[in-house]
Amino acid sequence: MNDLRKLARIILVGLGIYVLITHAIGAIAALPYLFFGGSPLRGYAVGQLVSFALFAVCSGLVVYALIWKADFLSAKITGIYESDQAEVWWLPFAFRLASVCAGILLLSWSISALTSIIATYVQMADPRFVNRSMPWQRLVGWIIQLPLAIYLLCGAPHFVRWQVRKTIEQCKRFEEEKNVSQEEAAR
Amino acid sequence: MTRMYLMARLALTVLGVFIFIESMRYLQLAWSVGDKWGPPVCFLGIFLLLSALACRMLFWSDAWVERMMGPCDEDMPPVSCVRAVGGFRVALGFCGLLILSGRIEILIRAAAFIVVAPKIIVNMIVYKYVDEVFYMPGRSWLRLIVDLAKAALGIYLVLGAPRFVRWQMSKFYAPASEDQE
Repeated sequence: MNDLRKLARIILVGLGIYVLITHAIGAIAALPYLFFGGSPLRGYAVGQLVSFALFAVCSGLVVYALIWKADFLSAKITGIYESDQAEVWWLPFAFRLASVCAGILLLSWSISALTSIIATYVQMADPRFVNRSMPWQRLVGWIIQLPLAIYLLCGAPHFVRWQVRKTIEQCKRFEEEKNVSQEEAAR
Repeated sequence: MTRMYLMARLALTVLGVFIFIESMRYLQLAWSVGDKWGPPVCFLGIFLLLSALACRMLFWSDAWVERMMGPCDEDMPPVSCVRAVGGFRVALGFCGLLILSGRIEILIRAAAFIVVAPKIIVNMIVYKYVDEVFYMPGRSWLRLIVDLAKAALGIYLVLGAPRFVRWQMSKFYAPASEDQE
């Protein structure tokens, strides 16, 4: 169990650092536009900087939680060991870890989308900017994306339970099919 | 199939899914780069190459796995059915979550279209009026179809890709083999 907790911690911290670096590069690359670019480009730079600031806060919280509250979080991801189901006890952990990893990436994308929306509004404030349409799908997409990311970050309990149940069902079905084919082969 | 073989196969499967998704981007690009024939042919070639690579990783990866892992160690116990099915479902579910979460916009558009579709169909049949959205250029149609295909793939993967997993399992757990942990 300890190995699984370490594995969870390594994967999550690695993913967090990867996403942090990605956003940091985006923000640094946007700095020249902020100081020397024209107005529409300044909108892009503002978006990038807001993205970096938001993500720095989120990443700071995640890194703090993973370092100082590591046991608590990894225990939550690993789950409770059930000795009567020794064969499948690792399944919830694996699905939960996959969900949390997807949640971190999705949170990163949703923050990028938010900053892109902010950048579009900054650009639209400029009277010289011609395109003044904001597709409503982008906004609605972001509104759905953010809660989904938070749900996945929380371990997606319903999704994990459903996946575990389906996996066990599929295994049983496969075992039955295999037994039938073995009996047929024996005949 | 030993545990290391399973892990190698899972890694190739995940890579194959993402390469296939990446290849679709080049299909979209091939129809949106303009009138000259050079760039579209080039992008189409990249699409075919990446698709072939993805199919090889997803469906015929045995030779690559053996080359990566070396000859099968007879002393190692074969991995159990639960581990193999669980491993495939976790890996494919993770891919599906990432693919699907990047296509929320297209799902919203599809849902909005389903809501207004009856009205459009009635207009087409009764009033012979074709909505202007159907007159969009071919490359927009292609982009829409590719996005919908990606969303469909994402949904299938989030559901655990049951047929793909069953096919993989029947391939590697022939009736003669014994499942032991």
